[in-house]
Amino acid sequence: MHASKKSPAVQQHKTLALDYVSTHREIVEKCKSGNRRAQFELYRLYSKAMYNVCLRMVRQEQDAEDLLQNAFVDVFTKLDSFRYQSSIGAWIKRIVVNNCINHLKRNRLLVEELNESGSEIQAEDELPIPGLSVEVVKKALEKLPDGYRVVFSLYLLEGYDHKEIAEILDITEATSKSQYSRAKKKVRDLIIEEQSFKECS
Amino acid sequence: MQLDYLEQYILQRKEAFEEGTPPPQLWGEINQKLDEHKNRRQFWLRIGKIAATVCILLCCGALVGSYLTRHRMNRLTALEKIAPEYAALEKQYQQQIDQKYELLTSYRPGSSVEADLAQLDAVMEELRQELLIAPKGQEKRIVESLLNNYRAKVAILERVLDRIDAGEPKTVKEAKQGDGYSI
Repeated sequence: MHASKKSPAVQQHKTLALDYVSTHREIVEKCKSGNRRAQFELYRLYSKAMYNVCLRMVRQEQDAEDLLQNAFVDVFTKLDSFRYQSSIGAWIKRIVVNNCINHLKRNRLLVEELNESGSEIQAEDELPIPGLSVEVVKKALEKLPDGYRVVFSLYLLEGYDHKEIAEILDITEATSKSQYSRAKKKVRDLIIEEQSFKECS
Repeated sequence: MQLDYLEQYILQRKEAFEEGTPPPQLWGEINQKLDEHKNRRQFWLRIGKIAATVCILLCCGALVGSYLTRHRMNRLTALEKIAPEYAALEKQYQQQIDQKYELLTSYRPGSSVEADLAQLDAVMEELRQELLIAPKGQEKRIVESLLNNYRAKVAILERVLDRIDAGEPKTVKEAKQGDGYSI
């Protein structure tokens, strides 16, 4: 159970210590003064990672492109409010994530699913899934309902803990935990389903 | 923390989930949007500056207006102190002059009568200064002169307005001579 613990991606991230508060400080300061070259440099550094965040959140490429575009416009127009309380990467990611969440909420893709509360499902099996491949996992993630996929991505891949996810999605921490647990179960089921489909065909 | 098999599998292959690449033209679109935002911001800044300038000008206008009104009131009050019996008369004459002058300027904007009235004003200002420092017993004479000047101003304006009404153009000088007033 992952209840009150940090997300695995956060722990990995902290161990590697890749992202410091002062990372790219010089570029950020130039961006704040409106230097377009520096803004392009910051975009170049983070656009790929942020595009993948968008893709994981909304699935559709066109939506991901639009969201990335809007998010970076937000980043550069709100950069004056960035005070180095976190790394610039984390700050940009938060803007990107918020844009994605707003997009999903606007399109009523998230609300109902996230309101489904309930007890956390215990991880029923820690056993390896035979014949698992990245492609199968990707397909399973694509098939996940939006609410599950968002919580699953935010926790496991984007590195947010349940407290942060609760804040981002405006839900309770308990809902975040139960949604993650359900999402993980659903992914396993979808993987197994996908594998049996492959075997049959 | 305990990671289950699936979590470990995904985290160990995280790079495989980062394969998407944004289209190259996306920066161009962001650049364009940033330009639009910058232009919009500059436009509102300009509007703000204009509004601030207008506010400052209005405040200055109000201050100057209030100063001039107070100055005029002070002049009337000064006269009231020296010769209270004439203060009401002066006020009355001034009102008449204002009305007639307004009427005249509505007929003939930029009329030459303005110069003559200005000359009268200068004489009256001198009389006022004289009045303030005049020895006792002299005030009555000065106040009489002042009131004469007011009468002259009223008469000049009346004469010019009469001529305009009659449709017969006459110079201001002729109007002054016809009335028999002298400055």
